[in-house]
Amino acid sequence: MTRLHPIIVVTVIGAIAAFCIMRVQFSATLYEMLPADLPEVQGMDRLNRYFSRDGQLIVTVKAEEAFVAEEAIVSLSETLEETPELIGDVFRELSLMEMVTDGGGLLAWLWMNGSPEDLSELEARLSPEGSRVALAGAMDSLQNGFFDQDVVVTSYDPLGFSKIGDLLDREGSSSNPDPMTSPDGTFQVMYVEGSGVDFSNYRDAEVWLNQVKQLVESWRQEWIAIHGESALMEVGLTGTPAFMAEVGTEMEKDMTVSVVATMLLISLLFWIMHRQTRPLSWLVSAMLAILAITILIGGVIFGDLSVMSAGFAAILMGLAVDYGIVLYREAMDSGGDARELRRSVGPGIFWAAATTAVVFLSLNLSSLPGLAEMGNLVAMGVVVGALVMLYGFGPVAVSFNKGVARKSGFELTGRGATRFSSGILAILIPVLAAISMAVKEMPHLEANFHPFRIRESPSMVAWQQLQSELAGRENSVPTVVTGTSIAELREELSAANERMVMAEEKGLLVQSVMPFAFIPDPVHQRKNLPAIRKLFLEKDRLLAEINEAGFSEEGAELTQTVLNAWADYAGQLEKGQVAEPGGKLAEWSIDRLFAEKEGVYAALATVKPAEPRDREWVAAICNSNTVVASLGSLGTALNERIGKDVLRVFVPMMVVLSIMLGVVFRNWKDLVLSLFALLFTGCVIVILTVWTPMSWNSFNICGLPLLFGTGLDFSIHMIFALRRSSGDVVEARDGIGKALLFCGTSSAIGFGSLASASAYGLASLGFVCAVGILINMVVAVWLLPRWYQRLHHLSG
Amino acid sequence: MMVSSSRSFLRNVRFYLVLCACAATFSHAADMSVVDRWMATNSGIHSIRIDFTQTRTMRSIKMPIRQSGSLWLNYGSNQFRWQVGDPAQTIVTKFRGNLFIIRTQMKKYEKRAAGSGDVPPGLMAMATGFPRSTSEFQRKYSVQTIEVVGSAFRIVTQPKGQEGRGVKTFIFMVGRDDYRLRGMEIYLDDGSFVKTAFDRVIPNIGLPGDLFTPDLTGYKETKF
Repeated sequence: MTRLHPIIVVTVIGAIAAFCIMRVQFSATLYEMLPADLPEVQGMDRLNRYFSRDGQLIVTVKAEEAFVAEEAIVSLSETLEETPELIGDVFRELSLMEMVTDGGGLLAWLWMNGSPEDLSELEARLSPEGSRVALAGAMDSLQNGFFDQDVVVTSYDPLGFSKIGDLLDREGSSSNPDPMTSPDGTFQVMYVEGSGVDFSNYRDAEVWLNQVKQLVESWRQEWIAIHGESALMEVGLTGTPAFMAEVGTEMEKDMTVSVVATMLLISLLFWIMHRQTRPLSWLVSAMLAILAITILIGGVIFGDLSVMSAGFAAILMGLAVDYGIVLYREAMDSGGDARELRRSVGPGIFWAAATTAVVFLSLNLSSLPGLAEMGNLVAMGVVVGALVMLYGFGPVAVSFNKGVARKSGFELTGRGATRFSSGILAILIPVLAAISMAVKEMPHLEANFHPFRIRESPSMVAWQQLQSELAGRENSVPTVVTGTSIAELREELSAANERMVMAEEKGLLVQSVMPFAFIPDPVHQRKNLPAIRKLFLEKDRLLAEINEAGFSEEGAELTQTVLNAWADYAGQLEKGQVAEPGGKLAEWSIDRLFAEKEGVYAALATVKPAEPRDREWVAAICNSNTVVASLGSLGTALNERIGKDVLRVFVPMMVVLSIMLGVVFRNWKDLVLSLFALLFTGCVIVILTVWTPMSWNSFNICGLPLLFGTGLDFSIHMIFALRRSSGDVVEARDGIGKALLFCGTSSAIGFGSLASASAYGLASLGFVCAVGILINMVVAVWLLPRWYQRLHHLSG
Repeated sequence: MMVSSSRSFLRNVRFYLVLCACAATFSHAADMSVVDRWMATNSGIHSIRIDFTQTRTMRSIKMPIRQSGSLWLNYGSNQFRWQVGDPAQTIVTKFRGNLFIIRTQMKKYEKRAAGSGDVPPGLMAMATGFPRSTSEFQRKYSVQTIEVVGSAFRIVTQPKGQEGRGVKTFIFMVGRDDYRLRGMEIYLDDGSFVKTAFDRVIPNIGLPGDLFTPDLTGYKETKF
């Protein structure tokens, strides 16, 4: 078998691994990685479930001048509408004329869905006496009023159907700013419904998005060619399909890049140590096979993998290669057959894999499902890795080393430097760490949510621009209220409203907006039916009066639309249905505030907390039926939760392992030495945290148990080696020291390759783990042997 | 939320552009010397009274509406008073940081915060004073074309910033002989337009103290 050409071996197994990676489905939904019991996470889940559309892209246009932005958005929407194979529908802010022709259905529904008292006021206004007064007043405003927007509106709505302010004010639904345009008009938004692909699949979404991007780019080129540089503008694409495509493809890229980088660096490391390419090709092939098998099993067990799980492959590569190296070195030294090789190093590899798996499985105690999933994958992978290396690579290693004289390799020595510096460093580093914390700051968790976001995300940039440009969006938090029936939903809304009012009185909330008027109210609709029927019968009279008052056909159009819509709604009610508003505007508005799915009715309210990162306001307004999609407080919630996790996982683990160490060493000096090595590594990390940009967040803090485990592992190996060599540092370094050097470096490479990952959290986890493992390695190989000598009063 | 506030439905509605203007005009470089000479006529003017005739031609009404009125501007104190009808039927004035819209026959007034965005686009220029220097003019308006129409220059502009929202074009008519402002035209997105012709312009007129602060005794505050 070993006669096969290395390139063929790597190519075939690499192709299988690549195929497996290609088949992996990533979940682009970030909240699935978070603790499901937090109201903030439930809020994101329900917001996504009831009010998000997979295929709805948000297109933004930002220009220097309002008229440029306005013309650009209209032109772009027309271009998009010309490609029905890609675009199902486009919704942009309606023009006044479009409002008049399309808004009547919504206005009619709002009156019919409102209280009978409100409708009676309108009835009075539309009565034979009232209508003439209203029309005369409208005409007077047109003739003598200050010519402003209200006058223009009045000219199209002389009977005042659009004066629904009292109705909305009373129910707290008012005061919402323009949702489609910034106050200065230079930023405009439109919503694009995609068509032709399955948007739940991010790969399809990416293909679709790229086609839309091409369309937008060619439109932009044409626009600049026609209008010149003075009409320059920026186009942004955001919304669910953009996020999905971006997150999914970035995860694929992360996994591929980190695996390839890890492979290359580990290969380089192997070549430096052994100067052999043929066994290297088999080692690489074995690692690829481990990856392929783990991905296949992981896919069956977990289904879609989360963004954080994308990092498991590189970590696994860094860990699994160690077993191969141990086998290879043992094969070099012993010269026996495969069975002998397994007998000699098999138990060690098995226990090493088991303990590593346990450490990674301990991530299940974390509150983050995403991290737990990654831990499970790595745990599974190291077990697979041990088996593949023992039964796959082991025989290969034996055949390559049969009859080959052992090479002496390189010498691992501190050249005496550590003899003197180890003692100084043992005092200096802890003191420096203490001073750093006292003088500058204590290490703490970043109080924000960015660990779970994708870096350099154009769709996120466009989303943030949208939040800052549109008035009233800043710090506003979507709040989802649910019920099992419309009646229950309205009750829950009322109860939530009471809690929000109290929260406002306590200063916890700045504002709350409830969508009462936009939630169907079957009771009001039934009560209003007789009045609606009566008003519809007045249609001819009202239209005649409008005509007589001097209004044109356009001036009567809105009135006509409202009256026709009432006839339609009356028909729906007579059939025993709840009336649903008609028209594009109504559909667009109501769908964003009210939804029914799988027997659950949901309404979308909005709150503005005084302190978004605080959690007091969350506790004040949330219950099982009212949840908030608040990223601000989520960061705080996660920090609280992870802080508890660390104590819950780390402290008991520390106690248990200390007891185990005591049992293993049966020597208090070695126990103290092992724990001191960990403390020393911790002090170096503290100094780096305080004085460098390295920071901790709710994700990479979970790397602490991993660092703890590897640090302990390294110190145990070295202390036992020193015992065997009676404290001979050179001998211990030449044996276990070299192994630790390779294992530590390869693990650091595996974690370090994640530093360029798209997700902040994954990148920061990779970085701190790589740094921590390297520190553990340096301490174990160069410092710990000298401390051992001092503690045991042995001569150098 | 698309439809939300009280006047939500149509109040937030902007005066949309019909967008039929030739797009290429965005990059058209107009001869600004006309504007320079017009602005030069402002020199030394501290206050002004303009008597005007306004014609409102709207798609939603059958016949155009014609109104006469006056506008007083005090550049020193940044105050103005706009009124139509004789006797005044509607007065709009700015004082104490607010815009007051007063309907005398109804004995009612509405108070709006100046700069709240509720002030009509385009007409803000008339209400708050015309630009007094070329740099100010260019800061507020994008000149699309300047053409000669009879005895006047027709300066076709697009207001910049918030005042430009929904205004298709804002046209200043400037006399060819004296370079003084003769009137203006505002074209809105729905096809409606307002033409204001200046019948008489009296610069540096004495302004009575209470001109900008009308007595609102007996008036009721409302929302028109």
